[in-house]
Amino acid sequence: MVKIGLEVHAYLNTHTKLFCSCSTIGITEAVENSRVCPTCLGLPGSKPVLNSSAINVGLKIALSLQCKLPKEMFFSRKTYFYPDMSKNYQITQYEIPIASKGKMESADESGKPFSVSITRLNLEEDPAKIEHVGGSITEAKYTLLDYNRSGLPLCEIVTDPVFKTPRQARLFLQNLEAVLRYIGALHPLFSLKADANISVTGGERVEVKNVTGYREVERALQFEIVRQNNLVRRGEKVERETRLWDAQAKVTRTMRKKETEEDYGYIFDPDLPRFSISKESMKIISKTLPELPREKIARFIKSGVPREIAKSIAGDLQLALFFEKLKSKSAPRWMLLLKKTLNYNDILVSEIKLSPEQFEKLIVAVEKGELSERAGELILREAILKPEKLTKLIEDNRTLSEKELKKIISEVIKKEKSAAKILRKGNRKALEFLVGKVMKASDRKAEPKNVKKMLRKL
Amino acid sequence: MWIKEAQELDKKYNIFITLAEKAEGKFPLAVKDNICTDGLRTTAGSKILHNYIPPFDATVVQRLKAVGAAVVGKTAMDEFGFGTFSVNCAYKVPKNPLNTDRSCGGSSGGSAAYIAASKHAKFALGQSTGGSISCPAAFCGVVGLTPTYGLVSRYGLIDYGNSLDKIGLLAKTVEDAAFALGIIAGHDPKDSTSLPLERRGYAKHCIPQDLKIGVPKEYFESVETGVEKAVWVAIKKLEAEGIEYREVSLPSTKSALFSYYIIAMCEASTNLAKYCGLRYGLSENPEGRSFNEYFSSVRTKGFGQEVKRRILMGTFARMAGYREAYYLKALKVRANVIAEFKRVLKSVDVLAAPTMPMIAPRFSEIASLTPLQHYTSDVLTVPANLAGLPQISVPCGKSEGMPVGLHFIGNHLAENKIISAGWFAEKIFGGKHG
Repeated sequence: MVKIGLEVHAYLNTHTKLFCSCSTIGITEAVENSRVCPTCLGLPGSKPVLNSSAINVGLKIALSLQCKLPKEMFFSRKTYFYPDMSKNYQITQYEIPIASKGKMESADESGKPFSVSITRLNLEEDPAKIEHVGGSITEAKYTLLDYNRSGLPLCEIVTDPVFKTPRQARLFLQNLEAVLRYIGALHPLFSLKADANISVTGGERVEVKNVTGYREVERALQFEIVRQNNLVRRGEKVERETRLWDAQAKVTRTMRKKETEEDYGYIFDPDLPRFSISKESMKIISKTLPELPREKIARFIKSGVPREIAKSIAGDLQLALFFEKLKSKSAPRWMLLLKKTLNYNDILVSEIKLSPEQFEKLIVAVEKGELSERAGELILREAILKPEKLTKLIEDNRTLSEKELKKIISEVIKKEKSAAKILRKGNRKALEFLVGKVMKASDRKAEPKNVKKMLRKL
Repeated sequence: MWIKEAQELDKKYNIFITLAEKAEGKFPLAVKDNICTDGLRTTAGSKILHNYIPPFDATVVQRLKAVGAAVVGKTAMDEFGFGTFSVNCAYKVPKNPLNTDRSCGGSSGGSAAYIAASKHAKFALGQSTGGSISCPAAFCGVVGLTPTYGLVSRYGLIDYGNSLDKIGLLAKTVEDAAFALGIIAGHDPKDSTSLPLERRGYAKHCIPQDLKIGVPKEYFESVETGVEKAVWVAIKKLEAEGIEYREVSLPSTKSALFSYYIIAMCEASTNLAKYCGLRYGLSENPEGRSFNEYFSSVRTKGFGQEVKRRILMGTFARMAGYREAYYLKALKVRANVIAEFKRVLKSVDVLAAPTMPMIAPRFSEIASLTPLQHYTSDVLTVPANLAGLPQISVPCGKSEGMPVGLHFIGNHLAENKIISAGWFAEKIFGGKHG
């Protein structure tokens, strides 16, 4: 059995850094080291001042993920030496994080809803951006540091090891990003960064770092499963270690072995007082939140959408937002088809070119009987990325009128006299055979049900 | 004129690490070298910051400049404040102006010596973590005022133990100290631990108040006879003037010392991690070395022995496996110490005790002390500092010709009471030192 847990880092959508007033707006385009001050450079005598809006954004995430909040929280110093650290300690949360024990509705690869348990959320500052020029840290000719990144507010979101496949982990990441963007918690210039913990039966836990992009997360995890299972099969040990994903070579490589936990010598950050969140401020924050996926599920069910379908749709926020624009009665069922098509083509809802209005047109055509179900599904596959073809596809695949169908049937029967003869005696095989012939002759534009009905009447 | 005097005093007593080139304003101001001054070298007494010129003023410096302060120089101190006698110095060791064979106390030794010797300056900026204002004030026969933790902004103070550090004053008189406190105290949004209090005057508290004084019996246990005598004479004099005292007990005095050193060293060991030769301060050619080798090399060269000792001990006490037994336990002890002070200060207004258990020692005597003996000489100043309580040391007499300090300790934000007590005592004992 495979167990996967994720450690996700989200850049928070605030105007200023976590502990100073340097601007974060358009930060990735800013000239290197232009958004810095004594505090984020770690100059002697500087002090951190907590950006309360980072707390508010953190609390928004906590509410959306149905987390428990502590009575009182504080920041700690995590001390280790690394060139990208302005103080050689990171201000983060250790004993008591901003929130813990939450959950998020997601869906697995078959579209089945599943709830992801969240271990904890903590706020922390980002280190500087580091660039080793001419190789890795040991081989580089020199190293460049950009402190614009230093002090950006990050929220670390840790899940329990609930994912059984790499695909589930990837779907969750896509979904989480959608939720965080939807509630306005994620900095518009950043995606989520994720480290993963993965273990197979009979092996130790391995941490995989340095993965950019959700597709890559899936690939790195797939590689790890194969690697770890091979070790177990050969009777070798899967050691506890941290591995880096090499996206070019498509392999993971050992970064450091850990016999024991690293020792960061945590102390409470004495520059930052303890603080608590009042019930009033929580009320204000919850009022700023839009309708969350779990609330959507409840509303969908109330409006008559079957429970499983409602969960499956709202397990993907983008899908839910898409669905909300549809009015047709059969829309819920079509959303499942859409989801299937997306998975089949390995694309995201956000990558769909087809607008909800165009999708609706297709659904209506099927509802009216102008298109067969099957034709509708095939058109969806093609139009999802090429909506400009939609009108023509519907026209070309239109179901035949009764008159047109009658004409084709009489032509087929003329050709297949012997089959027609047995058919009249009630032979089922002959019916099947003739339906197939009619379908072929009609260029598959006929609805098989109708063909059967008409053939029986002969 | 002020610069000239500062240069002369520096020649005699090694008071300054860095002297300003010019000082124009309404009054001269000496600043302890761990308080940042815009454009004027600030080393915190360490070689690792030998070339560091801050791009900003500490809030206290900014506030004093706004009322006419002219910074004359940055005063000598133990490296990063790690010491009791201003001998753990990367630069020169300051001498006591009353007897140059003796220490001027630490770690704000330079500022105390300057106030003792200057004809122009009325007060100077000092800073206390575990007694670094009161100790040199007592040894140099000047007034030392350490405010409640959080009353004065720490923005711009180079950190030692952030939960303990307090900027305060060395002054000629209690009134001078109280006046200066009125300028530097009050909320500063740049320091999150700064209390939300508006600025107000403190000199108005230089009036007699009806105060009940408590004398903690534990504070006489390891005190030199001469100092003990002088302090009791002072207490009796106050009694004769109608200020009654009664004996009180602070049983956790000794455990406070251990708690203090553990917390201070844990915090210090993280604060000092940033000095690695990367963006400022001491640096060398990194060619051919890994970042770890480079950091280690710079830190080995830049830090003095006492600094290394405290980094090692502080790191040890917060390591997984020891954290519980040392760091977290020290925090619990601290909470007990605070509760004990609070309980005693319900029945009395201020506590009175010897500031230091000895007079300013000779340098030759200091040389023979072990690190542990150094640390235990702070036993009288540490508990109040650990608890964040305000303190004032005023000269109250002499022993072997050297001044003895009387220490008044008040409740949190009871600056009015310790100022009143200090001011009254100063009147009774005959005012300025000398």
